[in-house]
Amino acid sequence: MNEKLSEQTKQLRKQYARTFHNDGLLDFFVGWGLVSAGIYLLTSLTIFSFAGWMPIILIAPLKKRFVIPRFGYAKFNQAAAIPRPILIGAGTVILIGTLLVTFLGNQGFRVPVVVALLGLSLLFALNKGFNRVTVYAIFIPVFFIVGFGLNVLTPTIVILVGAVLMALGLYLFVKFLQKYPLEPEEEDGLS
Amino acid sequence: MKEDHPLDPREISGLDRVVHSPTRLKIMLVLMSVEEADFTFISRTADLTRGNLSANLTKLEEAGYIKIEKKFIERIPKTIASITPAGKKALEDYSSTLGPILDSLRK
Repeated sequence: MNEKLSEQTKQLRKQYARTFHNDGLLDFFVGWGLVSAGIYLLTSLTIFSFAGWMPIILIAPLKKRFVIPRFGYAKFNQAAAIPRPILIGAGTVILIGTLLVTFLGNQGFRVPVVVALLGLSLLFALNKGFNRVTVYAIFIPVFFIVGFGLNVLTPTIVILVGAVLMALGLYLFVKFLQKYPLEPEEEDGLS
Repeated sequence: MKEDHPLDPREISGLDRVVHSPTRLKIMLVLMSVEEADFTFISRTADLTRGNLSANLTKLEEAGYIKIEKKFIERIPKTIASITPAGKKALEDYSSTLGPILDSLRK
């Protein structure tokens, strides 16, 4: 393909992918994950170690319900996708690890497990590697590791950061719905 | 204007008229950027009305530049379009022909 055309289509692909993922859903659920992690750190209630990442599974149905009918469906570059067996394998290992650590009561491992869970949840949330997810996938572990490493991270800060992300997610979601109203179902005229 | 490759107006006659239409060019560029897309996505990203899109998709399909299929995506029937190898080549040829002409005009 000639260079200019190739560059143009690459830019378009990125632009479409960004718009498609600019619906705020990911931001909202990352925020929710942080809020739950913060509450867990504050209260040590086991329920919150799961409450943070469980709703991630809602992203796909919500996208199907709200985003695809408004913005349409497109299959982007497959090369960026994380291989499914790797996702499933990593998720299973971490889930079993979390259950063991949580129920065997090894307090020392809880924080790293929460951090790992958040990181992996982000990977699961996104089946295609777009910018936003990459940013979160890097930001969240760094946020916890650096924060705890420097002893500056308190549960309240974690909750606050999460709340800000949730608010951002809601704002983006409402904006997306306004920008792309649902079009009436019409015949496309193609056989 | 380049000295070694002066602008030759006759080259413009060689432009593919199927691709040369702004509407069809937009559709081709959208489809070149994704593996496949449904009717709503193309209409949104190319900023085309459904009627206009439908007519031009048919022309592109007739030229063999795109493939249109009815597929079930998440159990919902969708009209899915994708660019064919012939379509890719047509767009590349169009870009290769028009690019130097536009470059010459800029100089």
